[in-house]
Amino acid sequence: MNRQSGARAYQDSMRFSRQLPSLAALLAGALVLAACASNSSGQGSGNGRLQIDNFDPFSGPNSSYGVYEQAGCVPAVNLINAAGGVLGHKFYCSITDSRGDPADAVPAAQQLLATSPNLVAIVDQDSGVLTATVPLFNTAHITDLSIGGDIPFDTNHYTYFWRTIPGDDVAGYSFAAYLKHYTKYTKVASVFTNDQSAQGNVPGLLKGSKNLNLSIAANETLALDQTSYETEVQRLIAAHPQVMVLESDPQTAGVLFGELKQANGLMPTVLTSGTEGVSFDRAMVAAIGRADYLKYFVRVIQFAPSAGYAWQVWNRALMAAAKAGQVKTPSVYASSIYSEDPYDNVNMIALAMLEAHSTNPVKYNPYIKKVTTGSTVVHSFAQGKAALAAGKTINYAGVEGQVNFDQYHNSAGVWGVFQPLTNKLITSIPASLVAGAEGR
Amino acid sequence: MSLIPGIIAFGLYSACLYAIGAVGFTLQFGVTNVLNLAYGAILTSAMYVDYAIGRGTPSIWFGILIGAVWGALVSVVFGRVIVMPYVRRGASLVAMAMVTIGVALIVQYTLEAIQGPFVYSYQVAQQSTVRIAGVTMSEEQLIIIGAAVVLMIAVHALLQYTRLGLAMRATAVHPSLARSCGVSTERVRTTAWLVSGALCGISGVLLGISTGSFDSVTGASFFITVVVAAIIGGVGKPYGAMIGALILGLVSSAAAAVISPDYKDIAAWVILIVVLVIRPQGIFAEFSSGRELIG
Repeated sequence: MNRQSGARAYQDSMRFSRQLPSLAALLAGALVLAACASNSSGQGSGNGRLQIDNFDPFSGPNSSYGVYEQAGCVPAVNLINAAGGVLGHKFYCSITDSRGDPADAVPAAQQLLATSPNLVAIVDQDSGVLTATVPLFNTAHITDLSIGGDIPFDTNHYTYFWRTIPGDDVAGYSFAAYLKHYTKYTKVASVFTNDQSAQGNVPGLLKGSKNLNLSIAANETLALDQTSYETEVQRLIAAHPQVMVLESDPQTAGVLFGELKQANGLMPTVLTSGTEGVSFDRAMVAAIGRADYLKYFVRVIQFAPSAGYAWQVWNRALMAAAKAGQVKTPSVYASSIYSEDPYDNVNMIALAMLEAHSTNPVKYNPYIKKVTTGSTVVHSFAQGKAALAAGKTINYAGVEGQVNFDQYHNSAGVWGVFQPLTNKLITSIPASLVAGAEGR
Repeated sequence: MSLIPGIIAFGLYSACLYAIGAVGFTLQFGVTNVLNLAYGAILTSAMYVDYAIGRGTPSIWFGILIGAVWGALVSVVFGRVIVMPYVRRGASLVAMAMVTIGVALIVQYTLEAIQGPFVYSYQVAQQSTVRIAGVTMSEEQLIIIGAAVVLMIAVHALLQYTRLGLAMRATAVHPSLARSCGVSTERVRTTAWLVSGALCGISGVLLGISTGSFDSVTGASFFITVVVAAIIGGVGKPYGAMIGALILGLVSSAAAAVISPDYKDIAAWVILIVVLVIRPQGIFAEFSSGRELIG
């Protein structure tokens, strides 16, 4: 296709040809940026009710997090409203799609703040966007109870930011503690995708392994969503690790483990909380089959027992929300920290408002810590409301158990080792062993 | 164990996936001069259609058929209903590209709405494997390589040995002259959309089956690589796209093995930049056509 007709056409096409690749690259880049554009959406009508926003990815690779967290927010709000609300106010859970990406999350947060006069709190922002969005919510004086593990927030100084899970680096230490104290493996492969959320686990895993005399046989960073990871597979196999620790998105994991199995290279693998979700499990079953997935894999995540009064209240509320058509497939969320955490967070926000006698974040924000340090232990919003009405100070110990906010507004808990798919608890890892991996 | 056989085998495998998409993209551009940035979205839509019709059970041959039919149909409709009216009104290259971006986003967000928050995963049965030169490849991967080779030969035959191919090449180089020589450029451009769409759909289905799981942006990410392969080879040049895809597949595979997997994508972009510095028109292209948009 390259005949020329005359010098003029030759020159024209020469100029065009020189510009075209640059133009194509530029426009292709624009397409990707546009494809990643914000999809912010507030759901639910306010009708004068107070708005608690679930600011999470509802699209993109981490979109299942948003669904999990909304499944926690809705039952909490239902229970609070059923118990008469807070100071005459009722609540609703809205959603805003952060897409899990700062470039999308920032305009979404700005739009949320600009258009939500009844917004009183943010719940459960996920990893990867905190550095970009927390300053915005903090400046707007909106209380933000997050589940994001971004490492810079290990020593956070934002007044309105609270985190009821440990940082992603602490998760890394928990993997090392698990391998050291609960398995016979000593040669570890660290395999994480190159996104900020996954990479947050790596420093803790490397330092924890060193502290516990485990050797790192391979330390691989994977580019996301490639058509083949065979060369990575070969590098891994050549390093002869006994066990792998991995976080990736579902598609990357599907391709990687499909090829690993093809090369007879499947090995015991520890998954992180970043792999929790139906999408990841489906991709893995599709790639290697259910039997191998159950045989080789465990998932180490923050642990909340599926028992006790707090869990029963939560579970009943979840099932009621499902019956009302607000939540689908509730069994998926009943024992997931990603749903339990926002449930607890909404309860803490409502109880803090009660104790502060105000729904204004400026007034109630300091009470977030106070409702977890009082003298009367309560396990539900209704119990807390009754105790406060009786003039007592409360200590909310919800589904996740006791909350202990430190000076940086962080609270760490116990870790559990679970079988994927069945979510069967294999063992729990006490905080002392994780602290040991941290060298404390 | 040496990494070289693996680099070659799986670099080739990746190249085959890239090549099908890149040839389709560049072929349509070469003939119509429309930079179709909705290509990735159409590619993704083919995955959804195949998944829906096959009820989540992958079948490469059936999938190729579905992908080809769907991609061809959507592309022809896209070319005639959306692109052509703009071209008739004298839309510029950039304006036309922006329209295709708009269409891409419409398709992507529609798929996102259909899909919901979870990715789709094929139900994959245990596959038989073949060991070649120390590298284990699945039957599926070998079929994909084979299918890509057959498709590339078919494109070559179409362009070199048929009257239609000759007409396509003539239209690509000089549409006015081709028209004055009796070539029905309207028929040619429709055929270009059709062939390009078929390759786009096939590329999407094979990508979906090879990765096992996909969502509404899977094709958009892959499309960038497809565009890079096309540009490296020379936009509008099907043979260039094949070579571009091969270079990309092998180099990114080698970068992952020799340096670090983290450098896979970086290597692809470095190649692009180096090629554009040395040969702005791409490796294969002498000079692209494109004096006028012909939709």
